[in-house]
Order: sequence, then C-alpha cells, then structure tokens
Amino acid sequence: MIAVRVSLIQKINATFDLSWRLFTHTVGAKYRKSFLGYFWMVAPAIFITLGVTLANRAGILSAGKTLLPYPLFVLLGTLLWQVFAEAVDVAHRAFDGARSYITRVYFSRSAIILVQFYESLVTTLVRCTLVLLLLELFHGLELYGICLIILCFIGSLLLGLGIGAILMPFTLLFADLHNTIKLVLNYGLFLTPAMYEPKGDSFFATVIRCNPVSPLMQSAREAAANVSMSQPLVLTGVLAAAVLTTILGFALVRLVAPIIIERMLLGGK
Amino acid sequence: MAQSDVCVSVEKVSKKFARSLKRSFVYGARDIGRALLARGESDELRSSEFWAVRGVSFELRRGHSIGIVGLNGSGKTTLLRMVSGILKPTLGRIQVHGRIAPMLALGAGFKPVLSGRENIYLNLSLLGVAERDIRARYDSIVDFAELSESINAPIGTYSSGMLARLGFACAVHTDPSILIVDEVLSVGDAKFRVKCRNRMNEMRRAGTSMLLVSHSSILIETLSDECLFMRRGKAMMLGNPREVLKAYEEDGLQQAVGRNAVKSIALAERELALDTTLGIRAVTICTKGANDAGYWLCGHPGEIVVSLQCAKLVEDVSVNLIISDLTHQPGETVLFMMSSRDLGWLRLAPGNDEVHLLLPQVGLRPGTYRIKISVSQGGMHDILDVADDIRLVVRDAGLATNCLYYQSRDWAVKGGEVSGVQQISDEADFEDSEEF
Repeated sequence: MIAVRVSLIQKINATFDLSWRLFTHTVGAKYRKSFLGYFWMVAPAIFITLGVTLANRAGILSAGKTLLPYPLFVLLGTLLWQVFAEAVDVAHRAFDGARSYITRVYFSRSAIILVQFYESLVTTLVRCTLVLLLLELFHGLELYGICLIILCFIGSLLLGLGIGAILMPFTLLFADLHNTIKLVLNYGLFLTPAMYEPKGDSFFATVIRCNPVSPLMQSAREAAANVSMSQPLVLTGVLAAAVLTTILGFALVRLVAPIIIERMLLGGK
Repeated sequence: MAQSDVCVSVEKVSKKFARSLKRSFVYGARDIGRALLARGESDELRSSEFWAVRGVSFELRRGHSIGIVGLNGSGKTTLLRMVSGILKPTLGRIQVHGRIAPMLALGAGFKPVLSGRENIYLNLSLLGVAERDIRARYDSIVDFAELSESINAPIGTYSSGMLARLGFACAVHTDPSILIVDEVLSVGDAKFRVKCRNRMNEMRRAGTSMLLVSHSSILIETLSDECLFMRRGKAMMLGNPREVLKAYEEDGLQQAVGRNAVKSIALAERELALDTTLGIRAVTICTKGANDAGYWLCGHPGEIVVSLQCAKLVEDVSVNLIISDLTHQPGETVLFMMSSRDLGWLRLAPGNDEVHLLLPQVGLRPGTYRIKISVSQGGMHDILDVADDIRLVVRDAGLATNCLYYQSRDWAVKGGEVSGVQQISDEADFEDSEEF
C-alpha cells in the first residue's frame, strides 16, 4: 500500500514539475502576438463598469444604496464573476488546445490543465491588483480587507476550475453542452449581485443569492468597506467547496482522460 | 532475471471502437460512468462497435526488436498507441518498463509562434526529459537537425522538412529504452534519412528495443528479430521474420484470390438486363505457368483475361483498366490503360468474346492492387459495363528490391566480361521457378 502511495506522490510531483516547465517555456507565446497583453485582461470589466455607472448616474439604472461607491461595487463584482467564468473553461480549453499532440504522446494529462491554470492565476492576480489599487486610491483599505479580497478571488478561481474540470469530460464529448455552458457563463453576470444587491424575496433575488459566487462577492465588498462579514459560514462553505471540487475535478480527469482522448482520435485531428 | 529483461509485455489485449461517431460519444459518456463506479469494460460488443484489436499477446525483450505487419486496418497503429499509453486496452494488460520514444509523435507540442530553441525545450519536456539533460543535449540536437542558422527563428517560418528534422532530432535525443516506429520515416533529404537510419542502428546496438510497423518486407527482415502478423485485429503469427513474412504474403494472396472468386461468381451469375448489349462475365489473372493464379510476379510476364458476353455485334468498343495501389499509397492510381489508345476500336461478335491484356514484364512493385475494368463505347466512352474491386497481388521475384517499380533493362560490358553467377536475392522462393 505504501509503495502505491509513494508512486502517486511521485506522479503528482512529476505533474507539477512538467506543468511548471511547460508554462515557463510557453509564457512568451501568448504575448508575442498582442501588444497590450495586460490591458485585455481588465478591459471588458472596465467597460462594463463604465457603462453601468453612466446609466446609474443618469438615473436609468438604480441599484439603491451600495456598500461601496457604485463603480467600485460593480468592478469588484464583475471581475470576480469573470475570474470564475473563465476558470470554468480552463480544463476544456486545455484539452481542446492540445488535440494535436495529446493523441500521439503519453504524458501526465493534468499537467496541461495546470498550465492553463497558471495563466488564469496570472490574469486573476492582475485583476485583483487593479481592484486593490483602485480601492486603496478611492476608498481606503485595511490589511484585513486586502487579504480577504485576495482570498475571494482565489476562491472564485478554484471554484470555477473545479466545476470546469468535472464538466470537461462531458463538454468535450457533447458540443451542445459546451455551448450551453458558455452561454450561461457569458450572460450569467446578470444572475449575480455584480451590479445590484439582492433585495427582497422575489424569485430573482433568491436565484442571485443562491449563486455560488454571490457569497464571494458579498464578502469581498464587505471587506473592502471594512464592514463585518454577514455570511462568514457561507463563505467558509464556498471556499471549502472550491478546494474540494478542484481536487475531485482533477481526480476525475485522471480517471477518464483515456476515454476522452480516444474520442478525440475519432473526431479528427 | 528473466522478468526484468522484458521491457514491454502485452497480455491478451483487446480494444473495441464504435463505428458511428455519435454512438461513440454516447458510449464515451457511459464508459465514464462505469469508470466512476469502478466497473470494468464488458466483453460484449454494443451496437456499431467492433474489435480493432483482439486477444493479442507478445513480449519485447531488452535490446530486441519486433516488426509488425498487416494490411491497413489490421489494428497495428491501435496496438502501438496502447503500448505508448495513449489508449487504454478494453481487455487485457500492458506493462511497459522504461521510457518510450514514440516516433508517432514527431514535433508534439510544437508552437509555431515560438522559436526552434524554445520548442526543443517544450517538446523534450513533454517527452519526459529532465531540464538539465535538455540543456546538455541542446547543441547535439541542433547539430543533428542541421538547423544552427534558423534555430532562433519561429518555427512557423520553417519548411515541413525542417520541422520534421527538428522533431526527429528531438525524438532521438530522449534516450529511450523503447523506440516505436510507425512506417518508414521519410523525412528530409537522402543524406538526412541515412543519418536517421544510422542513429537508429546505433541506438539498437546500444540496447534500445524497437517496435516497428512497416509495409516494407525488406525493412522488417533486416531490422527485426521477430515479426508479428496481424489481420483484422488478431495476431495471426509471431516468429521468425522470414517465415512470418512469407505467411503474410501467402495470406494476402489467399485473401485476394478468395475475394476474386466471390466476385467472379457474382459476375458470372449476374442477370443481364434485356436491353444490355454487353456484359463482363469473368476476369482472370494469369501468370506464366499458372492460369487463374490470381497474382503476378514482378518483372515477369502477367496477363489479364476479360471474358465478355455480347448480345449482338458491338462496334467501337474500348476495354479500360484502372489499377490502384492498396499497400503503399492506398487509393493512388498507378496504371490507366485503354485498349482504344493502344490498339484501336474493337468490334465484338455476338456470343462469348475474350480480351487479353499481356504485360511482357510486370512493372508494378510487390504489393496488393485493386483493378477496375470498364468497357466503353464510342469517342465519348459511354460505359457499357463495369467490374470493380478486383484484387491483384504482385509477388516479389527479387527483381525490384528497393525500387518504386520494375524497369526492364539490359546490361552491356565493353572490354570486360561477365564472370560470376547471377545473384538473385533469395526472395525469389517459390515452387514455379523451374517452369521458367
């Protein structure tokens, strides 16, 4: 039994080692093609924030009294959702992008997912840094606030990664499923408290509250506003779920990778 | 110890696939469910499934090499993929001890936007080589690939030959214990190919084992210690290369003759419609000394006899043949002959007629071919009848070794004379030789 465990640990080590090497060797590739690399990571959220804020100022869109100045409120929420939404696609993108060689060489499959994860991590940190900078500039932040906000971003990333990894075998097999999920992720922003607080008992408000990213947004905002947490237990639950789904997701990928790769062979190069 | 001497052990391995793409995906989802519930795969075939590999077993010992032969679709590549770890067997077990360098994956992971240098690191990392080893071997790789000038340019700018050279250079520097070679590597120019062959021989001498898949009997005979013949996923024979190759050829011939026999019966028994002018009744393949042999000998005379049945007098007839390759370049048309061009228009009497096509020296190289015969009429070639998918086996008589085709030739010597005996390679090993 011990021998088996050692071998699993060795495999995990090898996976991390390979993923790190692949990442460092390809880091240049993405940004060689675009000049404004970092800009694209935050531009969409900024534009959404600008648009919604203008609408708010003009009295068209009213969200009532919010914890933070409205633009910061929206930016924080939108970025947290984007981190989650992009993380869900990571596992699928990793396998899809490796189609040409995953069917011809054997290597630890999880490694390529980890490579995409590192890229997402970089993107997340950039977004997080932007938010922290703006919050500090326009509002003021405590150390506790900074830590909690970073925690919420990481939690959002891991939650998305885990869910994406669990869904990945099926989204690779059924394009319809993949398209549906992409649709939900694109417009799911409206089903979150990114732009408004969930008030009242209407069905819509309940849906927003039940969204797993909502506690993360809520807690991040409360931390930024230096207000005590209203949902500490729920937050802990969501963070724990994030870690659990990530571990489960990777285990699932390891288990079923050969089945998927076989279909990739059939589906053409 | 005998056990540690074995680097690849394949035990009763089987693999099934689904023919229909949609079904394959549905079964994929179900298989994922089964894997989660830790239930193994079943021995039964679901609808649209077939066995690509069935009950194959063999062992590859350190320093040895096994050649695998079989027609396209016999399961060779699937077997290699399973040994490489890319596919999981449905049934049976595969154990591999040592690093595999699959030549099926030259250039795996290459990103066009990155430079040759960066791609070397990328490719070798994927193939499992440690970072410091890549650094140590880097210069040797670039030298071998002959790319020292362009190694820092993005590989998107490389020609296909350069890409292949880089891929191959990386693969041979992975220091593998097992080489898997699928089909003859035809990368680069002749000089580079020689380099590759020499390198592979060096590795073999140093104790690297090899699994080789090729259509070339010569390569298999010279490079492998044992040969495995596969047909429709099953291992038909495993043993001495010469014997197995002979059995493979015989089997190929039997298959072809068997198919043709079925075809002949179908042709002969066909009910011709009332208004048909002409029908093909039989197609016979003859070689000297054996009528209806079903095969030709490369370099020797070969004949096709097309038997026709005519309802009435037919004018301006042309008998046309298309011969396409099944072994080397499947689907490629190799010969296209029309009697109207070579001979002139035919006038056929009512009743049974025969058209003989004699090739004084068969130029086709050894392999299996597919013949399509059509009988047409007039300058616009209105088709009167067609006989398709007739198999032709061309057997080796030692005259076209290493050739793309057989070329008839004559030698003459001035100021010298022929002293020795003709050295025909022993591939010319068949019973009919006395009759020539």
